[in-house]
Amino acid sequence: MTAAFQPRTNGPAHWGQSRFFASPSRTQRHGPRHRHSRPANRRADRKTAPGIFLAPAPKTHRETPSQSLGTYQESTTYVFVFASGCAVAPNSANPKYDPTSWNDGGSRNDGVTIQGNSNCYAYATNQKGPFNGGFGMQPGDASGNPITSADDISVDGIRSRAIADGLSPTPVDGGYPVVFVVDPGVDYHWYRQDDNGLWSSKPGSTPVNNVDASGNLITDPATANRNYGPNGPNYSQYGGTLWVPPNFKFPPPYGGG
Amino acid sequence: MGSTKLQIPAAVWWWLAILLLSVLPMNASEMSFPTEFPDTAAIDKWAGSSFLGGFEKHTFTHGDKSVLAVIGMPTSGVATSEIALLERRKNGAYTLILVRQKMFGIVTVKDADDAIVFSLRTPILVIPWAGVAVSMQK
Repeated sequence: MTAAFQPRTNGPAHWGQSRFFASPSRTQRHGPRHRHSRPANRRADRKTAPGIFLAPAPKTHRETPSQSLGTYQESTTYVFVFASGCAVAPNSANPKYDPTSWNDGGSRNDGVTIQGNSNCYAYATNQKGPFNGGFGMQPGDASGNPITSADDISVDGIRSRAIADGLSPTPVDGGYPVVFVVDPGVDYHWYRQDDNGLWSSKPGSTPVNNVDASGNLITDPATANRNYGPNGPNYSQYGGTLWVPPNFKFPPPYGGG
Repeated sequence: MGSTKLQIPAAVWWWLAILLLSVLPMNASEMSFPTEFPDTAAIDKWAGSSFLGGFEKHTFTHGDKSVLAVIGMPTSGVATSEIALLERRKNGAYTLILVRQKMFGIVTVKDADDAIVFSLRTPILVIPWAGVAVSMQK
């Protein structure tokens, strides 16, 4: 799949973080626009000066479904964003979507298989279990600040732990974007963007897939169905985008295979 | 001499209605467990659709008794466990005898000769074989 994806697949801006958009030349390199992408004449694509592009002002709150639908109005306030060095999606650093290398069966925490010992965070960061002999990883484990209570399972709690583990809140050269979502006090879930531009994930010890709760391919985690009710989690809160640096590895004793 | 008719105030009816509603199962358990399964395939189907993060099965036998322990993970990232323990009947069907709702952590299970022991690092639930009522020979 070579279609160019809209920049919002990099995820929404949060916590004062600016949006980053693909330069026209990159967009052109990736061929025609995806059918879900914004109109070609969107303001965010307009180049104003070398390395500088117009982008919508960052939102300070979570992106709502209506915002993520790309309904930008002419009255939107724009800010300048330096695009040089910005990671855009999809890019060559995005991991290959290769579920067969993860889905080797097994059961949770069996201490042997990749599938049985790798959760969504491990998959998003492209780290294959077992971790320290068992199931993992949890945000904060690698940085010595593990999740210890339900109160830790929040957007801020997961985000701060993932950053402490080594993920970046801003695009990294050679890195790739991941997105997390939260069912507060219950669970979190991570998605990663693959080389095909789609987003995939690995729920717990189950196989890797790239579909949402409705069985639809995930083109944008912000708009994907994340409600696994009535018995499962409802990841109602969109956590935002972080970037996995190149050659990212969990430190010992968690270093996976 | 006119007959006297008992008049019940409307407020009493309201209180009775509220009392009745309060004892109805208005908010059932978040996780609904079937109580009977015809075979292990039915258990697999149920567990596969109930536990987002996957599940594991463990079969234990003790004399003429047999149980199947299902440990499911309803979450994707956070390590959690839910326990379901089922007795195996002579006809191959399974009856649910114990459910433990979500716990944080990874629960393990083993047969400790006289009991089935669920542990979360340390034992948290011990089911003596004497407590397993159904014999496959009956």
